[in-house]
Amino acid sequence: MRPPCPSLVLALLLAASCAEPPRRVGLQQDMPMGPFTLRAEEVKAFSRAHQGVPWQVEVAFSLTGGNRFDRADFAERVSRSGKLKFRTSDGWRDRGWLLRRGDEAQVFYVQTNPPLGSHGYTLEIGNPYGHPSAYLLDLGQ
Amino acid sequence: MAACAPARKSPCAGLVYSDAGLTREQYAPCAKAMVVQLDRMHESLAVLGDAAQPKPARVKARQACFAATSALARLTAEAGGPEKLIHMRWEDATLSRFNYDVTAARDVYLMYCYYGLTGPEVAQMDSGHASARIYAAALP
Repeated sequence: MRPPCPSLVLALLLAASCAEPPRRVGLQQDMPMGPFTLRAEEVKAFSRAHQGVPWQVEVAFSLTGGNRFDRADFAERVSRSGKLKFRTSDGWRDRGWLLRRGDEAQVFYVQTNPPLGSHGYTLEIGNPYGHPSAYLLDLGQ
Repeated sequence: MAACAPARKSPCAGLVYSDAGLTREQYAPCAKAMVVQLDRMHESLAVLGDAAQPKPARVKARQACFAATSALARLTAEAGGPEKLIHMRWEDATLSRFNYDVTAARDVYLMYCYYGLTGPEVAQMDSGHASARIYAAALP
């Protein structure tokens, strides 16, 4: 196998060392991203065993800034970028989506289905505007 | 040279949404361009759906139908994507209805196009297409 190009390795190392760590936030804390402000309002964890879903975690967000079409665009941009990552403390992870509720595009939900009995939930949300590059939302539980 | 030719401006690009959505004046060129693509799909299906037509003509019609579908999908994406066009209410209910009709007609035509079905119903104009044409003709 050919050894990797030294300049490429150096560039990767530099990029890794300069990468900004995600900013830690909690519930009810603003996450400014460009002209928008996302805020996790509430988190619920419950069983939907009667529908074959052992465990569901649902995070409610409010979004302000721009008009309702801008907000819908922003949520789609965040979701489609694949930078919405839900994790549990034991390493289980899944991709999340900001699901719009209502035509005003002010309330969004992220729903995931981690294993029953899991705990230590976090949600990493990439910032399409950079600075910080991402927020690490601590959901507790 | 093709690379130096000025890019053709799409009638659906650069639309600026307000809280109300788009106005009829803003949306008219884009809406009309969408209906043109539906017309192209419908024309192709008239040939594709006719079993008496020679096979090369039917194959060509199917390709034309797919090309029109892609062009319509591109226009929809340029206008803001299905989320804004179909899943969000606009203040002008006529435009919301138009968006719904275009999408519904496109889905029906795409199904005929995809499966290459034959029969008189394939050549018939979809009701969504018919009403989208009426709405588009009434736009300024």
